[in-house]
Amino acid sequence: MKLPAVLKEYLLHHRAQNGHLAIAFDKDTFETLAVYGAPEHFGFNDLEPGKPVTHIHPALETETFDAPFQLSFLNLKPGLVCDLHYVTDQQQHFILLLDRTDQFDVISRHQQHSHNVQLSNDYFKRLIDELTATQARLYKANEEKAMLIAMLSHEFGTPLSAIKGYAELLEKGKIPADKATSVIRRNADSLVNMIHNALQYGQLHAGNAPVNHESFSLQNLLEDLKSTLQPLADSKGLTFEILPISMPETLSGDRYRLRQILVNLLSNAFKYTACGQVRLVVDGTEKTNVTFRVQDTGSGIPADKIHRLFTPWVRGTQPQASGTGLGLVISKQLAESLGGSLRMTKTSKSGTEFCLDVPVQTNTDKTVHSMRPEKLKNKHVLIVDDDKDILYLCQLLLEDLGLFVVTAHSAGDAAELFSRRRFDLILTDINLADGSGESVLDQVRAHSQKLPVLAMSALPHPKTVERLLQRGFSAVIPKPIDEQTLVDELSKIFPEQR
Amino acid sequence: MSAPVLTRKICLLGRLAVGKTSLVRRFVENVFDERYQTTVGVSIHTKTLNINAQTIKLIIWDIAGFEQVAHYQQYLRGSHGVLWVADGTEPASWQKLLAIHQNHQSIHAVPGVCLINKHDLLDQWRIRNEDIAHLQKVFGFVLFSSAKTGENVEQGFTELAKRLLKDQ
Ligand SMILES: Nc1nc2c(ncn2[C@@H]2O[C@H](COP(=O)(O)OP(=O)(O)OP(=O)(O)O)[C@@H](O)[C@H]2O)c(=O)[nH]1
Ligand SMILES: [Mg+2]
Repeated sequence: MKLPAVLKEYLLHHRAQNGHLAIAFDKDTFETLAVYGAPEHFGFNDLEPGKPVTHIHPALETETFDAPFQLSFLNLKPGLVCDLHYVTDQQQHFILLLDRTDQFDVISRHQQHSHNVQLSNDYFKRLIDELTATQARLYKANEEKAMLIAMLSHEFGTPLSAIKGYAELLEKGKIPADKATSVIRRNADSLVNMIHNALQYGQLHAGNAPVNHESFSLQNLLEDLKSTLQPLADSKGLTFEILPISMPETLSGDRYRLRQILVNLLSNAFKYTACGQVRLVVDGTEKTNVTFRVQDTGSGIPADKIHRLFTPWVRGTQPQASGTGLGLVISKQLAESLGGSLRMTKTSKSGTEFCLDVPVQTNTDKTVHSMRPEKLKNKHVLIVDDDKDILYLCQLLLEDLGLFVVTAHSAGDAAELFSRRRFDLILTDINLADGSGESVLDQVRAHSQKLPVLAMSALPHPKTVERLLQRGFSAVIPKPIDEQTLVDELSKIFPEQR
Repeated sequence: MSAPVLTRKICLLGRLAVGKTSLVRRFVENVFDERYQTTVGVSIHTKTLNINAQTIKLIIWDIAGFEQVAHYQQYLRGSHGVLWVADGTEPASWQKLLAIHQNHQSIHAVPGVCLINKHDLLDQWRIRNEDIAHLQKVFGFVLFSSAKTGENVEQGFTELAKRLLKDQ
C-alpha cells in the first residue's frame, strides 16, 4: 500500500534501517484502519483493520493521544526493540514503529559498561567512607587513651608524692610515726581507688564488665565506708556521718560497684570541703530504689565546671588540672550500669549534694550475713606469696582476725608445708616466681578435694576471675587486700555453725 | 455485575542498579537474578490485581536508571502513579531520588510509594533514621523491600494500587 505523504515526510527524518510498521487508526474508536510496512517483522501476524490499535502494546492502553509523542527504545519482545511514534496531521493518525535493535545493542553495551564502572566507583567510595570513619574512630580512641594516660599520671602524682614525702620524713625521724602512717595510708587508699576507677573505665569502655548479682548487707557496706573514710574526715577536721532512713537490711546487686561509686562521691566531698561536715543519707523509703545522698558543706562547684562534671575531658583542652578526674565520670557510668542514675542535685556557696539512685531488689531468701570475725578464730591458714611485703601484710591482717598464719614464699615451699601440716584454708598469689597459684591449687587438690583455696590477684579482669573460679579456686580476692572483702569471702566459705 | 477493570500506568523511578527491574520481575514473574543487566529505554509489564472487589490492571513502566538526562521525560507522560526506588546500601540512591522528585514537579500530583530496596543486605545497610524520615515526608509512604527475598514487593505495588483506586 502506498505510504501517506505525512508518513513519507516523517520517515525521511527518522530512518529505520531494519524495518518499520505504520498503523493508521481512528482516534475516537482506536480501530485500525490500514497497515503499512512489515507487520510480521514486529510479530503482528494478525493485525487487521477493525482491531484496536492499543492492543499492539500495553504502552498504548492508557494513551489518550492528545498530542504527538515518541517512545524510544521500547522493549517490544525479546530481541526486538523499537521506537514508537504517534504521528498525526490532525486528519490522519498513525502509530509508527521503527526497529532500533541494532542501535539498542550498541547503546546497551556502552551503558552496561559505564554502569559497571559507576558501580565499582560507588563500591570504592563506600569503602573509602568506611575507612575514613574507622580512621576517625581510631584517632579519637587513641586521643582518648592519651588523655586518659595524661589524666591518670596527673591524678596518681598527688598521692604518690605525698606517700614518698612522708616516708622520707618518717625515715629521717622528723615526724611521729602515727602521723606519717595515717597520711601514707590515706594516700595509698586513694591511689588504690584511682586504679579501680581506671580499670573500671577501661572495662566499661571495652564493654566487658559483667554486673555482679549477690546479696549483701547494706549495714555492712556502710560500716565499711565509715571505717575506710573516717581517717580522711579526721585529717581535715570534718564531721562525717551516715544517716539511714528506713534502710533495707540486705540488698541484692553489685556491692563492688555500689561501693566504688560511694567511695568516689564521698572522697570528692571530703576533697572539696574545707570545714563543716560530709553526710551520707541513705533512704530506702521507696521500696523499689534506694537513694544515696552525699551532702557536703564545701564551697560549691564553679559554674563553668558544672556542665562538664560527668565528662572526663573536653577535647582540645588539658585534662582538668585539679579537677574531679575520672571519679565522677566513672561513677555515673557505674550507676547506669546498675540501672540507676547519678545526678548533682544542688550546689551553692554553702554546699553540694549528689544523689545516687539505684534500683535494688531487697533480698528475701538467701541472705548472706557477714561473719563475725570470731568465727574465724583458730583457723589455720597458709599464705603463699613471693612478695615479702605483701606476705607480711596479709599475715598481719589475718592474725588480726584471729587466724593462725603460716607463710610460704614459693609454690615449692607451700607444697613442702602442706604435706606436713593440716590447714583449714590456703591463700595464694596467682603469679609466683616458681610457678603459678594454679600449681599450688593442683598440689593441694592432690591431697584434699575440699580444702578451700583462695586466689589473690592484683585487680583481676572479670574474665580472669571467671576462669580461676572454674579452675577450682573458692574465691578470687583482689590485691591490695581489703579487710572487708576478705571477711565477706571467708564468711561464705565458713558458714555459721550452729 | 462486576466493576469495570481499571487500567493504570505506573512508573518505577530511581538511580541505576537500585533494583527497579528486579522488583518488577519479582512482582510479575516471581523470579530474581543476581546478575546486573541494565535497562536501556523502557521495558513494560502488566499485572492485574484485585483489591476490595475492584480489579486494577497495572501497566508497569520499568524505566532506565536516570543517568540519561532528559531521556526519561517522554516515558513519564500520562503516568498515574510512581514507585520511587532507592537502595538502602547506597546513599547516592536516595539523594538521586530526592533530586528527581525536585526536578519533576509534574509528577508531584500523582500518588507515590517509596521502596528502600535490598533490605536483605543488612550488614551493608547505610540509610539512617533521619534519611528515612525525610523520604517519608517527601514521598508519603516508605517500605523496606527486597527483590531478592520478596520482602514487601507485593505490598509495595499493592499499596500504590490502593492509592490509585482512591485517586480515581
Ligand atoms: N541483594 C539484593 N540485590 C538486589 C536486589 N534488587 C536488585 N538487586 C541486584 O542489584 C543489581 C541491579 O538490579 P536491577 O534490578 O537490574 O536494577 P535497576 O534499578 O533496574 O538498574 P537500571 O536498569 O540500570 O537502572 C542486580 O545485580 C540485582 O541482582 C535486592 O533486593 N537485594
Ligand atoms: Mg533496570
